[in-house]
Amino acid sequence: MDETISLKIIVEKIEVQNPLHAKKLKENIRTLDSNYQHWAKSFLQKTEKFLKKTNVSLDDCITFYLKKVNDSIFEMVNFFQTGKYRYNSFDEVNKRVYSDPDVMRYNMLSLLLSQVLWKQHYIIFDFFKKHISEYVESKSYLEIGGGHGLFINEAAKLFNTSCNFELLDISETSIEIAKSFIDKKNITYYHMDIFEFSSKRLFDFISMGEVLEHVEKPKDLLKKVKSLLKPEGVFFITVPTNAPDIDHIYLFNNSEEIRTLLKESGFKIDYEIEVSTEKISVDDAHKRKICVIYAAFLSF
Amino acid sequence: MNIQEIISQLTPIFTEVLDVENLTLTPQIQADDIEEWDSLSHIQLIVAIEKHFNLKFTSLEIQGWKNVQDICSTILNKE
Repeated sequence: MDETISLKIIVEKIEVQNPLHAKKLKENIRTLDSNYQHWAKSFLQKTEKFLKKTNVSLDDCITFYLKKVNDSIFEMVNFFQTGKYRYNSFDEVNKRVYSDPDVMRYNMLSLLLSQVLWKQHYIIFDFFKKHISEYVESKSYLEIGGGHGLFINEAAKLFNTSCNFELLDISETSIEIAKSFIDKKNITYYHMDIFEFSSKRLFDFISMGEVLEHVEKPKDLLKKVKSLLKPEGVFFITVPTNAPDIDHIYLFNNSEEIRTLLKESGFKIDYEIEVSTEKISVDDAHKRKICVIYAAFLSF
Repeated sequence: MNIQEIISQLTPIFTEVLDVENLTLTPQIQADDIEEWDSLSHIQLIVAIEKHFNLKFTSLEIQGWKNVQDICSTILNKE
């Protein structure tokens, strides 16, 4: 498979169904550097194997992805009109999204494509890769809300082989997808709510990507994470601002709200990055209530 | 209303939201034909169109939009 062509093919297939979105993707891809091209090549190879293993065609995956894009547009229209997310109850979202295998399957598979097609997802993953090498001596790694498993898969490639990896997700479907995507075999998976999780030992490294906006009380979740982390441990987090979605219930209006919450929860910011999801500055995005992804490596 | 009447009402909306002067909308025009019609302005267009025509589009309706004709057809079908 020629992976560069595959990226081209994906965008071409999207263009047939949604020319407007294809226009954005072409701009995204054009603005990213050669490192992106190199990474996209290997990611698409892995994705192709994953799709074959899970009996999902590329066309189906693109259909899921475009449904996700459309859901996002629909939620953004409502958000621009009301200034609020449509949903605010965890129980409701849990029942309608996390506990529904069909919804989670489309959600996870669409996120897989967004990882290679959305500029912000690539930049955040690149930020993770850039700094994760500092923590390769970690003996224990916990991922909360692992999604398709891309981040823990990367850490598992770089960390010492003696490191113990654990992944927790509230969705059984998400865990099944992660098991198929992640290369490392000896990972412990937990299908449960993080608030019900307990561990006899504390972790050196905890990663939690785009989970904080899924809970009603993010401060309680940060308190839970802190209780699971060693005093010298490191916590990697990503959080979107102004990101209406089918399962987002807590609205962060800007990065400063996230920083303040992290600091109030006892964390110190070691490294951070903000990425605008549109071709406008982060400040402009905050002012116009457009999504920005915030990511940080934290310690106590 | 017919397509042409809807287009004549859409034209000032597109002009204002996209901030483009002397815009001539035709049914075949799509995002590739207007530089300023991007993913962000598209949402602003939907918000403005819903307000102007006093209607709410469903997720399924906006999913199929590829050009001005599609927007007009959806508005017509909701009359």
